[in-house]
Amino acid sequence: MPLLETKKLGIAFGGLRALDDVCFSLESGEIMGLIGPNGAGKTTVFNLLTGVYPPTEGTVELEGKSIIGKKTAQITQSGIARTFQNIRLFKDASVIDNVKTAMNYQMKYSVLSGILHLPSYWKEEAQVEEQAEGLLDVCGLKQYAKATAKNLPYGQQRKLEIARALAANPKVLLLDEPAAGMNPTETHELLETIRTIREQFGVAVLLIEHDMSFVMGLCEHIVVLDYGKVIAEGLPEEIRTNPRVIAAYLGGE
Amino acid sequence: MMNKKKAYISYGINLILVLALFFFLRTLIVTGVLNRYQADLITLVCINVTMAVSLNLVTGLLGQLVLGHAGFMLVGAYAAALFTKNSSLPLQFSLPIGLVLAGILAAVFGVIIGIPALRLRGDYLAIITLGFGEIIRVIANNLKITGGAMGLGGIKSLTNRQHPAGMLPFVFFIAAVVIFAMFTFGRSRHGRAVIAIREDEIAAEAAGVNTTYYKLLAFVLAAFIAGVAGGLYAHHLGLIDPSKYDFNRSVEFLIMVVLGGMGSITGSILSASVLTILPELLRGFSNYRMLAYSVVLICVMLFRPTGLLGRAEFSLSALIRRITGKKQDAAKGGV
Repeated sequence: MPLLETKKLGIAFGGLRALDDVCFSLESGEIMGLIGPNGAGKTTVFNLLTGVYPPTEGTVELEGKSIIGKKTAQITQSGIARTFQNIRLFKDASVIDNVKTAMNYQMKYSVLSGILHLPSYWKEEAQVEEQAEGLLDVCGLKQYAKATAKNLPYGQQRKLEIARALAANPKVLLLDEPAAGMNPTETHELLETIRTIREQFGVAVLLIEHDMSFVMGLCEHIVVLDYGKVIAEGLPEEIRTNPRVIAAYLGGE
Repeated sequence: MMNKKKAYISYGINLILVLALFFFLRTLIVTGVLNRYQADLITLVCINVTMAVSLNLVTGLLGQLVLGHAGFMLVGAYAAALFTKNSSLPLQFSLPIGLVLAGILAAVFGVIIGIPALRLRGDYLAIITLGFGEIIRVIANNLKITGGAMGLGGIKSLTNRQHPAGMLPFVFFIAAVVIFAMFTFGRSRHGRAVIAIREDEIAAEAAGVNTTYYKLLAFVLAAFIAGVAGGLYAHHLGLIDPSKYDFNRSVEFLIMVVLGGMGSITGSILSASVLTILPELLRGFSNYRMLAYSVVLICVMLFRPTGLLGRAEFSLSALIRRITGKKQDAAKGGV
């Protein structure tokens, strides 16, 4: 059984069919790329996977269980965490608090224990502090832990988004253009970080990206979308030479 | 998270300061250094601080504009007053029970109004809460049990000629407890979740935060505190006049929060105190009183658009560090 599977997934906004008959599956620990020209519906796939919109047809199953109809927060709690194309951090909170917020649902102490600082507060806060520091370390952000999120350089903000998504303890990590706006050095660093994350946390990664060398270098499996339909699927080498993909990107006859 | 030991030391120091302030004020009132009018003003400051700090939870921490906070105060005022009037217990005992009831009833209203209202944000939420505040007032104006437009009179107060500081322990320590609770709430996982919603609701949801729950939690907590403050206010004045809890009153509390800096508890305390005392100090200018008050507001907003303290908190230890730090820097500069 695949970790995450979509069957005949589709959504229409009024008369516009944004996605139609999208099927793919993600195995655990796999890094998969979702590519396609602008407006192909890649981010819409992410929005359907995370419950932002309900699909008009088709199913999404995580470990064999349907997640259709669940709210975004519930889906995150059941194991699908995402980052955003346009960075959405908790800007005025500290870097470490950004990460801790995503651990909130894994914590148990009550409102009263929080207000009165009962022993359960200190115990859980200490644990979360340690975990959060560990995550920041993996993402190369440890030195910024106390900084305010909005003051981080752009590349670090992108990494913080990944750290926050990881803090939700996901089985599937959805990355929406993680390398957007990064220079080649930063992109290379990010590639290493994502690999490390996969090794350390055993998460499967589904990523949207336009940087082809990044996608080809990192992904084991690629799905290509165009006009809301899957036009190709396969290994990076197959995608590179697929005439339909080339036509979609460069325009065909 | 702060170091546990450090946190307790800082709470201990604050506790001592709060107790010292209480006994200082109490002595001044009991010995007659402060007259009845000034003592009343101190009571009013405490109640307004409680209100401002509770509104700060919704407006500052959760980031939602609420224009009906006086409505919760009114609910609490009636609940507490009706209980103490109909109870055979002496007021020292019936007042605390009445205040708890006031808080609970206001919290129930918070849930009723919060569930539909919190689906909306920003301006829409402001208008819904404004409508709610007015509805509460109009209902109170027309019910028999609330005494209608005449209001509810004959509410006993603990303050009288023999005990000029009778209400002080209640209003003072309730304000202190509320301030403490808001500080620690902000540092708990629940506070982080609430702040995350203010910063970016979509991202908070994506980080697994149950936004509906936390919005309601903050809203209901604030309503509870406003209810308690309302109960205190009723027993301070001795009567409830529904027209005193109208839209203008809600705006007054909102001004306190905005002026102090949204999200800053110490800012709310500071501005609630200043805005309660300032109109009284300006009584000498009689006709120009409200004009001067408005000018102060405009100036603060022009020169400190984020409010007096912004989102920062005033902290004694930080102040000490800053003073000593500056001295060290100066010494280094000298060498």
